[in-house]
Amino acid sequence: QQHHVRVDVRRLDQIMDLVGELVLARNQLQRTIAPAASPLGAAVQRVDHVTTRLQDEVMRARMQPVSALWARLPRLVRDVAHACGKSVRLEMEGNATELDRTLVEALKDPLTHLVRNAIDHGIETPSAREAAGKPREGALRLRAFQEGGGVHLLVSDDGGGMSFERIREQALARGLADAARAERLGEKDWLQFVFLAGFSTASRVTSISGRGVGLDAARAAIEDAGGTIEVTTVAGAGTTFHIRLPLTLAIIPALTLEHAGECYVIPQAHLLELVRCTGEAAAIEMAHDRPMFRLRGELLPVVHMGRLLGPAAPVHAGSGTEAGPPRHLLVLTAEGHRFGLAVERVRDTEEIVVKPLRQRLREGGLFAGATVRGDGRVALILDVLALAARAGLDSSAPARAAGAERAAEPVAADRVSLLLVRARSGVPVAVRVSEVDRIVEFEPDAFERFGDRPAVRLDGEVLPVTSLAGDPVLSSRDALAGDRTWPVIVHARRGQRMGLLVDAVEDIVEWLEGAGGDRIVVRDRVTDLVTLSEAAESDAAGAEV
Amino acid sequence: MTGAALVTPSSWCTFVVGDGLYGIELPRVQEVLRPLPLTRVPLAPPAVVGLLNLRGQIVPAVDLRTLLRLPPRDAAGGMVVVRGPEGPVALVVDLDREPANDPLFAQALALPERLLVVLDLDPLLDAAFARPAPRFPGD
Repeated sequence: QQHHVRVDVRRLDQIMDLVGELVLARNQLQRTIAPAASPLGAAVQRVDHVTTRLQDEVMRARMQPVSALWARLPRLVRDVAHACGKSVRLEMEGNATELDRTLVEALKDPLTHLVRNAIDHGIETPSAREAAGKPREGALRLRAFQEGGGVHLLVSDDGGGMSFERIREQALARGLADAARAERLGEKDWLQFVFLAGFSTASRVTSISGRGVGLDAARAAIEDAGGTIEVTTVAGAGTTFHIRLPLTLAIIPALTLEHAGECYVIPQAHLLELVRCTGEAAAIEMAHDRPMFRLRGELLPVVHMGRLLGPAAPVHAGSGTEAGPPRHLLVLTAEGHRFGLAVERVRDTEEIVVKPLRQRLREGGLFAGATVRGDGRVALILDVLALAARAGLDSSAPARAAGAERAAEPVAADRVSLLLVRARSGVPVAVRVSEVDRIVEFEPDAFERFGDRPAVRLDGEVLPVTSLAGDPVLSSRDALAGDRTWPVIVHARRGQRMGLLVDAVEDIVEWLEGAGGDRIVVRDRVTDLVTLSEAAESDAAGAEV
Repeated sequence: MTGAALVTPSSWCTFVVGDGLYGIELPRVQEVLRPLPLTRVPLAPPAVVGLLNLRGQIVPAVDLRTLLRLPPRDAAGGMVVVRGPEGPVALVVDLDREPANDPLFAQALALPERLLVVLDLDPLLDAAFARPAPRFPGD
């Protein structure tokens, strides 16, 4: 402990800025000097190496274990539980998970809200719990872990859960959803309402919570920090809030686009899909006096970059950089809404260092910050939530955009979890987690042939194993050579258990069902979305022949 | 600033905008730069002509000609980076002058007809970032 010093975050930011400058200077050096075997070239290479490491170390200096955030919680839990007359046990898991210290700051208030809420509304009184056959002591569980380039924080209680009926009643009573739309909303849609300002299903107001403030503020703070929050609930069994955050606030992957000669960036986290709209001006149509884009049967509201930002500056006029017709449509998501941004040119995806923009310039509402590009010039970061508002997606009515403006054939826009796997042919493939029964690793010699089919034994049964289209044929055992195990995704097809052999299971991601059809872009990679109940068909048939 | 009478003449950084000679209290001046490339900020107040990268820090640039209601210039002569209440701001001027060994500066004080206008920085920056009623061309 005595080896630690306290450092002002602003100082770290300054060091980070200077390192950023060093990176730019290095890039210039590399461009100027041919990377020959000359002594100068070698020196430049060393500068390059040291700069990269320096950047890495400074980034790391910004990280703090999540325990810094949790330190106050045992006391908070004790106090709130005592005030509510409840008995609560706090479990914390993943103390050592590191996150950016600015995120630690940004999460303090939202986490307090969630914890208070969970104890006051989630966990029942000891007598109610006993009556429901649960232990008298409620459990509040906090879990933190790093996964897929982000930090996940889960706040779960084992209380009574939230009532969809109550949320529905409240939403209808407040006119947040009309009866016609209510028909179409699923349970997940209804849960979104709890994040609205002033929304509370608490039957009584206490001094702790239930005044309808909190969850909306918590969500705003988390989204400001570049994260997302979701809630799942099981009646009688409890509620879980799932917060996803970028690993660091300072460096995020972003897509650069060009408009009227200037570069703008959009955080990749908000980008669902990139659609080319060459020569199909008709693809953008007008509905209710708003431009809409028909994407696989669903109407998305569209914002034109040009109309949003106004005419190009006089300096650019006539210089051949005026805004051309939009050639790309970015499908963006914010607060659960989807909308399109029509842009003229898309340049590239890169990691950017986010810099704050002063309040007076953010007031215009379109820019969240700025960044310095590789050439040393400044680029503005578009505020996707503000763009959504410009697209006519009022954040106070989350269901409207999702429900009211659907085309005749409704496409479900539910979030689903996708399991990302790598096929043996090396291509990325996604399958719906809901279709996956379990994943089992097998040694190469576990794969046998039963009749004409490859299969493995699982739980005393024979499990036929299929491969993805395009994978090498599983005809002989040496197809699975090597000192490793092979993951088999166990799933059901027409009541029969089947196994799908893949090379590796990579990750689980959230996806909007219907966004992207069979071919989707996940983490910059074009990925085939395979429906397990259909996918194995051809392969199995092939194996039977 | 009301304390102008108390400070010594060397306490101003002077520059030319249009026909006028202007000065800013030296302690408020961070540095003087050659013109740097600017990134336009759509929908920003008219005097805010862009953003520049000052050693990794993002600094807004304010055109003094716009603020002083002068016709636009052909090319910026220089930038005077001042310390504003919310961080540094680059003032785009026609011609900047170093405060030290500046003959024109001495002349200005010696010649009564050549007036040095000392700019009051805080209201100036306030005016520069003031936003008329928000307006969105996308509407």
